Amino acid sequence: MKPAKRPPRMRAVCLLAAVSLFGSGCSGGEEQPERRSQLAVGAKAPEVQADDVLGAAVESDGRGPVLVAFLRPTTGATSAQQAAARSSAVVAQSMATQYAARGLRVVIVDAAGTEADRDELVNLAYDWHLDGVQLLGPEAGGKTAASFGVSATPVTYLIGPDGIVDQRWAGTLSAQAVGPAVQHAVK
Amino acid sequence: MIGINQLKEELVLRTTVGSTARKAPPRTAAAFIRGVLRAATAAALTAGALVATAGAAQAANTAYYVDCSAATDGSGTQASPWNTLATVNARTFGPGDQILFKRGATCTGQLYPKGSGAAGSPIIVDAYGTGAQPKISGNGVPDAVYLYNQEYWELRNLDVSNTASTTAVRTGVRIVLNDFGTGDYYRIKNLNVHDVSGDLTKASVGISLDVYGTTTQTKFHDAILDGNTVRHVDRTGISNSTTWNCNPGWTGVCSGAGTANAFVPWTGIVFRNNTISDTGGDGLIMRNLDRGLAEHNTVYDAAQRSMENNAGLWTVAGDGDVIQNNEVYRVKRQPGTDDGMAFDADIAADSSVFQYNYSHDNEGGFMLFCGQCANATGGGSVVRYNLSQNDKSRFLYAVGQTSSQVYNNTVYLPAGSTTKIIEDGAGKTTKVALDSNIFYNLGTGGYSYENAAKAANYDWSNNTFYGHHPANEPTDPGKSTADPLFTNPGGGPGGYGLQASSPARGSGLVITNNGGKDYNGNPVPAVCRPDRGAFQSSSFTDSSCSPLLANGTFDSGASAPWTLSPNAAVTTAASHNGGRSLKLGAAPSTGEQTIAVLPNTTYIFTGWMKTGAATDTVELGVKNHGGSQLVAPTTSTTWVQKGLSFTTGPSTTTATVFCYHNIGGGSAYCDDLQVVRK
Repeated sequence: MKPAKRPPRMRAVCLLAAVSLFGSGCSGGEEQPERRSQLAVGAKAPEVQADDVLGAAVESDGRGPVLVAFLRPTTGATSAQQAAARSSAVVAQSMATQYAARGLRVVIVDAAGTEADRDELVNLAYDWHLDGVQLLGPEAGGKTAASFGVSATPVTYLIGPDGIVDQRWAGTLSAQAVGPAVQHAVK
Repeated sequence: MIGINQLKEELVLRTTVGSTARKAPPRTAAAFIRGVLRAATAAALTAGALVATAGAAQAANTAYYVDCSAATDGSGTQASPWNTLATVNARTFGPGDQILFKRGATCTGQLYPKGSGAAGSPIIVDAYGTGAQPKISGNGVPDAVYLYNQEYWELRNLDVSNTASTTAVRTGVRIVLNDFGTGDYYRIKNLNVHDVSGDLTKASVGISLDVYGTTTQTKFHDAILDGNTVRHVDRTGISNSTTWNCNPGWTGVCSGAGTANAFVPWTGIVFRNNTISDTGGDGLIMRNLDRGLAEHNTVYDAAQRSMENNAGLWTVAGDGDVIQNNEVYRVKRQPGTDDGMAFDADIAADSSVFQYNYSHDNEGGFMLFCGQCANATGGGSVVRYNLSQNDKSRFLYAVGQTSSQVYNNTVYLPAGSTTKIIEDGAGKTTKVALDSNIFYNLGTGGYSYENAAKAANYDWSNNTFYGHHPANEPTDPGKSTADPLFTNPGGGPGGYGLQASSPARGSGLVITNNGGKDYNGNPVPAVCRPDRGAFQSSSFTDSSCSPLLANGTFDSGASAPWTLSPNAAVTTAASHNGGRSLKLGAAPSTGEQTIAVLPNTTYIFTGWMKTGAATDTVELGVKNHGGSQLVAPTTSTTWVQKGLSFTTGPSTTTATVFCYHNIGGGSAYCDDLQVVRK
């Protein structure tokens, strides 16, 4: 999942559309997401093209190493979902801090079922002190989550350099679980 | 070392904070501002942001707006915001009030709003608009954000710094209670505290809660610090302190202005989801708490500048603190210092639990036991289901601790490592049971005891020692030196899980009150034998397992099937776990149980014991097993684990195990006894 600069005009369009797409650029905000079955370890990761909430482009041909955490941090989530999202984000940030220089990319996807408030997500990116972590959303219909077959949060995927899902963790992300695996993945 | 640890707990007291001259701060860009989120968006979104309860000034439940980029100091409404902290500080706020700072704006000086909220109606300091957090730039004031004898406050979503050209005692955020009584309800959430130019005394902290005074017993209650980032601060990241600190287990401290203040532990204190980095000294200190909780925190690059002893995350003079699911890495051990480890049960800390933590690459190692430093009496620490990977110096630095347990941890030391498993020292006694751990040691570090006799204070059972085997490797009745067959040692998918053929599967000891889950949150058995190490890889069904020794905990209150001397009985007077133990009266006094065994089979018998006086001896033992009677004695007056192994004869089908008070006129106690097949 490679952060990439797009032409300014296209990036602006994407922001207005406020969607992320798979394999179709940023012109398909009205598309209904195609929900896959839950992505399993060993499966090929889907391609991702999106803008994070601060406007930086995220593009992926499915290859990693990348850590993708699907969380429910925003209004409308249960307090338990929000608490799990906060703890998971701390771990995701820790992985970015330690391993970004070795090629790891870290993405948090707001997996709200309904399109979240963009302002809330923008503020979240600042208030959670995300540095080197990209926050995706809001998404109409939760397209990224649908492409990964995510039906419950938190769930986190570690995608290897070959684009294959290396690990999948359900529940609050823990450093002790993900740390050694990420360390191995970036070797 | 002791002296240094006493220094470690120095309390530097300050009382009042005055205002300081303010100057315009440098307008540095937030590190992560990027993309197309820009002022236009923020401005457009600001207008309709938070609920504005525009009302009369000083009325409760009012939202006051502060925009330090505004040209004029307004009335505090969103349309006419205040523009200086001085205006905010001159106001006494009431229950339900909100003080909202505009995102993207910077206020300089000290934020010191007055007043208190009420139960269910706290005063909230927060941000409004969209974009980067509002900045409070202290510019060298003692405390950039300050509250004094106030309660029911929430501080959220602020960027706080406090830089100066010279260092002094400084904090980013300090809340003080001084002869106040109980201060209730504090929430500090999502603050970004950074660049605090403190000196290297422990009074300089990123976020600090402090109790002062000597006349009114005072404490914090219900304080939660959640999701804060603290970086590049001197000296400490997050901590608390109190003058009401005469912990009964540490009577030497009593530093309350020369007065022996009572011990008033704080309650309901939680440190959660905080990220602390680049601290001059310690990362996070939990002082004088009653069942404090630190979880899901990340601490790294601590102890960067202080040349005293510092650690990543530690507890002192508390009771029952729980430290769990934290990651601590790259804590520095400065030259000439002893510490620099991830975790520490420090002076007078009692019954702390360190579990499910991930420690790696810390120069001072994984764990410090210092409960009895400074002539204190701390002990009872439980260290379980942690992963220590590539830690340096030593796994456990033991300089005084009683009745502690270190079990089911996984320790990985790579080739080239010189990390010791144990470093014992300081002239203090550490009594600890180490059970069911896996030490995967590809380096050359071993076991360092202050003298040979002290090695006996470490009771080892059912540990795996793989790799390096120094001459003084511990004896362990359930020792395994076989490769535990990690799935992928050193990291990787599965990492330290156990392969199907691992000898570490199902060969650990059953630990009473083991917390119920492993490092990954998977259940661990309470009856069946668990795996060794931090990961429960094998499946189990407790209902299908029967312990070889029945009623080894005595926690039901019944004594059967034990056969007891007339002066022996199950008691609630002492317990290692679960509330009851077997009390043995004046010697001779015994409890015996005959168990079914297999011929030509080796078993391990372990249990916890203590005596009423050091002149007494109590022992656990086995007889009638087809060999000579074997015993494992102790004179310890604090709970210690002892164990032995025995091999049955060729036709033996039963054996008798016992706990026996054989010397002394007082009492002795036995608890948590078990027999497992080797």
